[in-house]
Amino acid sequence: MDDRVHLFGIRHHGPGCARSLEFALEALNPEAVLIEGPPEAEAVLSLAGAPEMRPPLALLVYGEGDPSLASFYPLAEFSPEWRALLWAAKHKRPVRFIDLPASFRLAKEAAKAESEAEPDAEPQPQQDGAPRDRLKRDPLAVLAELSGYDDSEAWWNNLIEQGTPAPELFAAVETAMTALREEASDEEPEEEALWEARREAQMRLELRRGLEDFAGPLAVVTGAWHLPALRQATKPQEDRALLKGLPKAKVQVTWVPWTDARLAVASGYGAGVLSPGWYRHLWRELQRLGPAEELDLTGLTARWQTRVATLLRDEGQIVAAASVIEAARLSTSLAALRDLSVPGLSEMQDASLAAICFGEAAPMKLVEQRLIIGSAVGEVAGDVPQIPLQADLQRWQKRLRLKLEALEQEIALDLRSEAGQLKSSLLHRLNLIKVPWGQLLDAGRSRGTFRERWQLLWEPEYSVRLVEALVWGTTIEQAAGNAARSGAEQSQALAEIAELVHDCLLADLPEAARSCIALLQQAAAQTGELAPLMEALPPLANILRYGTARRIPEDELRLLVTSLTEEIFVGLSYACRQLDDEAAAAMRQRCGNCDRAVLLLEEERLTEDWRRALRRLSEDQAAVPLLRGFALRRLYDQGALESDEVSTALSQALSPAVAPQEAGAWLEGFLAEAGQLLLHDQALFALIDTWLLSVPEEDFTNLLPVLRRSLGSFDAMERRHLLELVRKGPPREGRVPTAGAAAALRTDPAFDDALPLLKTILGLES
Amino acid sequence: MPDSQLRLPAEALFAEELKALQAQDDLPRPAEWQLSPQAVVTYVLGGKLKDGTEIKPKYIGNRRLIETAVATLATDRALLLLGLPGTAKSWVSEHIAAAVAGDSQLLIQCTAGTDENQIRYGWNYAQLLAKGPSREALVPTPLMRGMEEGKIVRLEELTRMGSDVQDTLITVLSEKTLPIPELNSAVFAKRGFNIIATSNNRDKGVNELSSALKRRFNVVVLPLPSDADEEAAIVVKRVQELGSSLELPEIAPAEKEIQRVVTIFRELRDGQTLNGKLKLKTPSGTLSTAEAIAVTIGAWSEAGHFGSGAIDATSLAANLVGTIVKDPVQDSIVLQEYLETVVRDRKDWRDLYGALREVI
Repeated sequence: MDDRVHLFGIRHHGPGCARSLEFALEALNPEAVLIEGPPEAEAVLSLAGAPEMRPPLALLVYGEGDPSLASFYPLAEFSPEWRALLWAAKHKRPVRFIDLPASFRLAKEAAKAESEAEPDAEPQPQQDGAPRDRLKRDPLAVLAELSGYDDSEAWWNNLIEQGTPAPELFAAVETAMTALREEASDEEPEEEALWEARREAQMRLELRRGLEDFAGPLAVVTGAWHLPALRQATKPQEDRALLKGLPKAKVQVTWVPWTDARLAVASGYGAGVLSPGWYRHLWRELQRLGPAEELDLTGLTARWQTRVATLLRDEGQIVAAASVIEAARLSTSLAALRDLSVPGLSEMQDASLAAICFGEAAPMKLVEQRLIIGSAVGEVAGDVPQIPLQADLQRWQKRLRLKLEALEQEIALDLRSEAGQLKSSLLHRLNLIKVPWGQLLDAGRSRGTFRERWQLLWEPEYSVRLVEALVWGTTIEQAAGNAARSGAEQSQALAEIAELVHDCLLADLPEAARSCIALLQQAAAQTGELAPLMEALPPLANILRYGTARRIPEDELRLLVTSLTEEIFVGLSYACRQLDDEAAAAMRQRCGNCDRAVLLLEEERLTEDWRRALRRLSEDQAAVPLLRGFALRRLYDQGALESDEVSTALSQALSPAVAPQEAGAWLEGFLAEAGQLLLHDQALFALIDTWLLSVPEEDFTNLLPVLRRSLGSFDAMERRHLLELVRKGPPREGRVPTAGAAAALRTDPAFDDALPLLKTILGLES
Repeated sequence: MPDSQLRLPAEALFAEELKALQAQDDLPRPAEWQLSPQAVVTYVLGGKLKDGTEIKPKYIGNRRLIETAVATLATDRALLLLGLPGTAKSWVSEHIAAAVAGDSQLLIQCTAGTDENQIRYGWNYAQLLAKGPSREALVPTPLMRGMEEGKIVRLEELTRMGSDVQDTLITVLSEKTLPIPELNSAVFAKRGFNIIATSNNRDKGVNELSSALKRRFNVVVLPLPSDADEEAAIVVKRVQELGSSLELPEIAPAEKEIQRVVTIFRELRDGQTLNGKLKLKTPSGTLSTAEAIAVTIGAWSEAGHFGSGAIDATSLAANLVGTIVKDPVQDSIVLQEYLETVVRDRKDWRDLYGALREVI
């Protein structure tokens, strides 16, 4: 091979590689840089050097006609490819991407999606589970493992520390790769092998073209795995033959902001980085070094442990500076014990755990999330073409004949028609990615309604939000689903997650709804509070019973509703203790809604459990009387109690030993909206009558407001009938008093005296 | 050692292994250590030496934890081992002390009644009266001897002694000095001196470590057995041993029931079902492996003396509820919820569901 070609085999996203590569480029000063990447991206590569471009970023290549067909090529600040791009930009050297065009791969995927019966809505991140696949994606990590390291960066740093200057280092990597590839003789499926062969053929062809176009040295930056193949002597026509007749898709390219969390997921080139935050730390440490300088161990460990301490302090924990020093010492000592010359992430973590967190795992979770994975979000320059989500929106607009207008406009949708449903889903989805173009008016949510009214208003900043939402996906459907999912993952509040489930169902995102339902179930199990559960239940039960005009994941929803109700049943009587009047009234409201929801579901087991819970509540002496009365009444209404059981409970609750205030509250709970019951159930009427007569005068006066309140919930007609019933005197055995019997009114002077007061109590002055 | 001794200390019991390790250990050793840190780890976790000597594993579990513990001692820091009952804290501390210092017998058992004299030094009052305050009148404690001889001192159940007594350790740990103000002198620790303390991290009614003292320790938490089968195996073994030493009536083997007890304990402790599908609330008790053993022994005794002669759902139920429900309100919610959402739906657990419902 021409000695103008200099191959640099790298680890994708390896900070050690990146630093060595920088030194190597500096030393070589190549005329052009060739990088493993899709050539379509060359159109936007010039933007990489702009100061506003802040990694983590991803190159996005997506199908012009179908943005859901997309490939992302994430780059972090410590990715060797990114460093090479920056070097080229700084020194004004041309950059070429020499991999197979992404259009081939997308065309292949499109064909595959078509041939499969049901194309997946979610992009499947490529798993690197198979050992063979791992070998190809991150061969250096495999090498590190072979030499007994579980952290390939620590291994790489050990190599640097041994004073190997950068160029020889890459030579060593190449030797290792050649050996590794010989060992791993081809066992992979034919199709994949062919694809790999094509990629490498393309790279060789590009290499030749580079040699023709440039006179000076060429730097080739590619995954270490490919090195031996690039060295391979082949004839150009053989390589060309391999590439003949591949289908091509029309694609667009742009930069999109990326996040640390998504760097941690494998996609595009290279395995995902498990610990982007730690790599960034290493990168910054490495940046302090000159060529062939040793890593400053004290600085590396102390600065990391300080960051751990700062994070925990920000979260309100007290961390002494002495602990930080001890953690740094311990990590070095652990590295020595494990025979490593540089402490890796596991040493850092073990040391933080023992010396800073006192062995507690909870703060370490925080460290893992915030520091090791990290929370960085990339930024792109303003002149980066920003298209896919907007293009998707435009397509929907065209299809649904909706215009983006900065004027308020109201539309009514009929969800029974396909167009109405699609429009509604689109607007709901946009709301999920924080583009509130449409606002739902009079959200008539509880009923299985088929009408929606929306207010439309487009604000210019929504375009920006569309770009931000790119992080979630390239189509509105994808982005909305992922946004909801991540919202539910981050939220601790039950009500919020329930809201997201609801929104997903409305936005016709059954998959996302399914994930949110699972999260809601988890959160529900962990909460100690019943109120949010009780509020979450009725709307979900409604959807389950009446359905909506949309697809719903019924099994999951049913499971959720069942587990929510079980949860409520178990905690019900405890949640009804020690409440003041206001809280008790709110609780009664909730119980009523839950009662209706449970009956609506018409599931025998649930109904039975609910009755058991109500019975427990009605018998629980520690529960608030209002709710005890209410529970008994519900049972009575559902025919779950014999009337003499009710009589016993009533006379017990209203016995003289019970404080009148309490009895009154109980009665209010029991009698709420019970006019008809009282008119027709003679035993009940008699019981209450007897109780009232036995109340001492002073207590009776105290009770009046309560009585008036509970009777006031009857409608006027019921109250009038009740009065007539009272006028006839206490009912006697065998004579059922009815409103019709009111003709035989008794004339009793005492009664006439009391009549005005009775009318006041019953609210019948008129 | 006399043969009638009930239990030999670790360094005597494993003298052969220690000798073999020492002979072949060519790695650098910290001052006054009998072995290199690597060899200490090998001694605790087991392995094979170059000459083929088999080292038995003393602790089965996470290698990283033992490495952290040993590295801590190598940096001159005191080590605190935390864990639930039955997680081998004292066992690990004894073996590490034996391997590092060749002596695991400098032991202070901390209790609510432990006072400063038992930690620092006491006085021989006859000598004190005869000669006045002098070094001869001083009665050294294991701590003082450990400092003088450069050895590892073990403090068992550190949090059981009062906070004020705990705090006498602060100076010892940070200055490596034990002042004797009465004699206007001090004991300065020799190299090799260090402290391994153990403590239960979830029990109620213990004296929290002051943060000043806690900062002077590196803390390693020893976890419960990592999976249900391992834990069940431990319970089965211990129940057998305990049962025969208690001379309980012979009964049918109860592996299946023990499996259920361990499953319940693990699920409630971890706050989720074993398959990870359902989240659960956790009760206030610790539900340690030791308690699982106690429940089974209780059920055995009940079944043997009063019941059917085999451990079954009925004999387990009362013991289970008694162990799980420590707080009558909160814990019974937890248990009820667990019953309704998990136990009820397991087909072959019907008997247990019925029995537990009866007890609650």
